[in-house]
Amino acid sequence: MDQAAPLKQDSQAAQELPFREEAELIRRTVQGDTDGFRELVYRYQRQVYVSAYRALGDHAQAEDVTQEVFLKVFRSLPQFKHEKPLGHWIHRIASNAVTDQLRRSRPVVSLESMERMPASAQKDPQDVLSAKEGREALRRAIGRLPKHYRQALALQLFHEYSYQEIASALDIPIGTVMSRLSSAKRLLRQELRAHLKGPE
Amino acid sequence: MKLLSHAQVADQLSAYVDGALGSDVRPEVAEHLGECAECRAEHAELVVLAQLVRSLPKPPLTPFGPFWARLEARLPRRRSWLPAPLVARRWALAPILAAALLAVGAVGGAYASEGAYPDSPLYGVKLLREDIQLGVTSDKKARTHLMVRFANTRLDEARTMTREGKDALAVQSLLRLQSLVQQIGTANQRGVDQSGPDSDLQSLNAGLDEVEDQTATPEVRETVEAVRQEVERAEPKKVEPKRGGPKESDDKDRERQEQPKGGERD
Repeated sequence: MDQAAPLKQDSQAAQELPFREEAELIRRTVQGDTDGFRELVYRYQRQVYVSAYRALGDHAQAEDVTQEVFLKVFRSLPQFKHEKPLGHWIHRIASNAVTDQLRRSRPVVSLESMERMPASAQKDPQDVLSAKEGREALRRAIGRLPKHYRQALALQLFHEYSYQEIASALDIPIGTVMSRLSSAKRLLRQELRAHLKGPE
Repeated sequence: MKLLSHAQVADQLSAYVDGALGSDVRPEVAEHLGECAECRAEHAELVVLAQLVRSLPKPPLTPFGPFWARLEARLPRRRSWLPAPLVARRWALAPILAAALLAVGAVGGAYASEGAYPDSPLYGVKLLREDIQLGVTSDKKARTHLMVRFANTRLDEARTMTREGKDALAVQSLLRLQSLVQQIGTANQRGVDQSGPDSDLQSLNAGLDEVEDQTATPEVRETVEAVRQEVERAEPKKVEPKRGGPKESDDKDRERQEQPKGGERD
């Protein structure tokens, strides 16, 4: 029973999972029924893996992080209060795991990426930086952000959450989501600008 | 209609690019963009950033089977000594359990179990005794103290089990410890016994360090970390007087500040 559906389809399917059915799977898992947990993992694994892959850009790292996320979910499930969607809680754990991994990662920066950027880079960085280098710079910059910014940003950029979903997942007002994302992106732009600017 | 100020627009540009602004505000932001070069430059950068994010690759399709096989092999075994339906109602079962204790006590096993470790056949009796003690203790403060005592017992078990290389049993004790700490935290949040358990909970951290130092097993280390986080959550929040200037905080401090509460500042 292998799954292979796109992120959005998975996300929608998970949202449509009746609350009671999910509650039953949680109950079974907490009582030690690994089949119940398998069913839960099956429903969310692809989403977590996709976001981890988008964030980390590497299959092995994304797979490891996804494993860690579901181990954490299994261990913490007895304390989970099923007052809101399980998916939001799982994605919150995943966004922490992914951004912590980004923070720990010390990607090797190639000499190519250290080359001086021409002035035109400021207008359209993607024309100048290779897509790969741009993505690496983005990942490093996200890894350096303060945790509360990283968390909200990861939910938006990697998990493709709406502002409303981020608010629900993080238990914060939507205004706070807006302000965190705005501040996070401001810092991100500063970081990326510094990366793009070559030596004088 | 009053137009948004430059600062207000700057704060909303990110949401504007994300399409998260209401239709009542969007035209005002668009109008400001037409007039403000600084905001236009910021807007352009945000658009490039969004393009960069969209360029992050989607992964290849991966089969679920091997992922699950690997995960299942790593799952800690979760065993319950009470049948599932009874677990949920165990406090209501206190009188029955008390009777059971008498029966167990009659054969002398209950008291002999007091020093039993998870690898002992009497360990289940020990847990049963503790649960009965909690079940028949109605005073909230006394219950909290009992839970703190049992938490220390679980920690001692985990320490002993890791010392003897029985990491799977250590994980079981740590998971039980985590559950107790969570219950103590709930009691603390309800204002029960603000004076006592806090210091005891802090002393758990030193014991957790010992457990962690004794093992290289990732599963034990991860569970220790989970318990630490639970301890952090369970400690009663204290209001400390402000000292000096702002202190540079690490991620853990930030995380603590991030716990949902009223009037959150950003």
